[in-house]
Amino acid sequence: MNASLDNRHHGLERRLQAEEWYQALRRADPAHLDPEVIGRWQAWLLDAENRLAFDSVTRVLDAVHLTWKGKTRNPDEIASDPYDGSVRILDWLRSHPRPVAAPTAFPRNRPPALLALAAALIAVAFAVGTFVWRPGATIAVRPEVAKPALVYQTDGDASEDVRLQDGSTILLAAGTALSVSFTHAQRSITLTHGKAWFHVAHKPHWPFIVTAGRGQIVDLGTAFVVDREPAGVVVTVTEGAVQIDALPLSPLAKISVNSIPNSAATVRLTRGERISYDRQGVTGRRGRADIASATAWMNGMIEFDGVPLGDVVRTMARYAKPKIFVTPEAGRLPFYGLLSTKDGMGGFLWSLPQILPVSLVRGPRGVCVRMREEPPGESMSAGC
Amino acid sequence: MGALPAAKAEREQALAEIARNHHGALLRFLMIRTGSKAEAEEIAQEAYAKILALDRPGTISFLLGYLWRTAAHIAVDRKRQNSSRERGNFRVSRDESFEPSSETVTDERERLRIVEEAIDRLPPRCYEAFRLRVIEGKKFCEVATDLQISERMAHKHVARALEYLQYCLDVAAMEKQAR
Repeated sequence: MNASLDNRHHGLERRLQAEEWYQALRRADPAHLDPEVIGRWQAWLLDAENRLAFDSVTRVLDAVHLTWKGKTRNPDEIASDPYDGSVRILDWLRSHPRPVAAPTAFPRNRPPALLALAAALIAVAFAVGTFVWRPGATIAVRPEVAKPALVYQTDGDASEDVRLQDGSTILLAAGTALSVSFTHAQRSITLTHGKAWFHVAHKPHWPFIVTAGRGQIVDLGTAFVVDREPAGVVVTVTEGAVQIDALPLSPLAKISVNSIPNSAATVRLTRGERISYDRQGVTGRRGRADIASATAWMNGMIEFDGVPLGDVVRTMARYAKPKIFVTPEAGRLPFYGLLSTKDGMGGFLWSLPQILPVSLVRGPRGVCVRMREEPPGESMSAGC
Repeated sequence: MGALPAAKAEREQALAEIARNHHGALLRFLMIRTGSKAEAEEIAQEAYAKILALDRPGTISFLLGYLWRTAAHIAVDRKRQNSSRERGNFRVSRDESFEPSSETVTDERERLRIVEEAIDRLPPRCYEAFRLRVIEGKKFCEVATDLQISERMAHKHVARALEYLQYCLDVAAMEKQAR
């Protein structure tokens, strides 16, 4: 389990390139702005991952410039620093908590009490994977603020199990991110993107609540799948029952009840039922779900039932390395099939010309899928 | 007769093409220079307007070079004007016609606080490499010499610092979404 946001879209190398460009452009003299340099930068930006890296480096460095206080570090401290950049700083800090005492020679601009508190909070924040909540008498005195959310994230290629301290299990599909935050009042999970199956250790007085998009799913003794698809959130109950609520703070989240024979803004689902909602409310009717197909991904299988080829490729791209481009027209072809996420993209890709009227073209940046009769120019515009 | 309108129509067409292909990059460039999306948008529009107002013909590549230089100049001019006005410790928006919602203000303040604290947590040598590179704008070879480390190590430290700061911002954003 890669329990962090680490590998999201950019390796260190890409990040450095982004930083180089940022510096060069920030410092460039307007009178001598070289169009050739700008052109090279724009060519570099054409790559979506480069663009992401560049934008996130910009966000970070803009904030750094605004907030920089010009502090200097003790030269001895610098010279004797054992950190060598081979692990992430996050991991380094977990195993090497900094001493709490502030060095007097280099005064901080914060009162010592606050500093100690901050250090304590940081220490808690970076304690590896331990939840501080324990049922029992200590509840009343435990300050809420000291429990930061833990973030779990899976990379593109594999699903992962997470076992929570309360006995619940979460199975994250590939390319999923969620955060877990337990307070004495409730267990809160936020599904930021992707898809996960929750098997909840049911505790009547300690609600287990999954927030996904503009809605919340409250466990009523259950296992269920929550899938954040581009068009909305799909909830499928595989065991027991859940209740789906509008988010109380958001007027947009009013779940429309027209199609639902249930009380306002709350829908109750039981085993084998599914529902979908988006920011407008419930859009998919409550219906019987095919549990086998909703959970196929848990066995490394994904079922596509008339899904546009473009979406299929985007989904499969989470599991395989080769870059695949699809022309818009080919991207609209409906695809039916059960694909294994463990075989990578290869088999699926090369079988396409047999099942759909498409052909494959090798381009400089990857493989392009286009309609058989499409002129080659189309594949250029698709990005390959 | 008619030459002027034709030239104007051509100019407009050229500008449309330039904007289509370069607007994203131009905005990114201006955001780096100004730190504000609203201001970047304004400057881009101003630069486009200047191109339209040009009274001599030009090839696309000429217009393109002109556009980037003009935009960069406007950004510098504005910075000069603004720096006399703002000496505050942090900026929400320089655009007075835009009244930032209290939410935007807290978000921005919160983001800056997160970055500031994260910077404080950087390991000492990493912090120093980051400072020399990002704040002082030194080349990596100079950073390496100053810190008596290899250039590769200087790269690594800066990349790790960026990675960590971004991680802190991402986690904060996710937690906020959770609330």
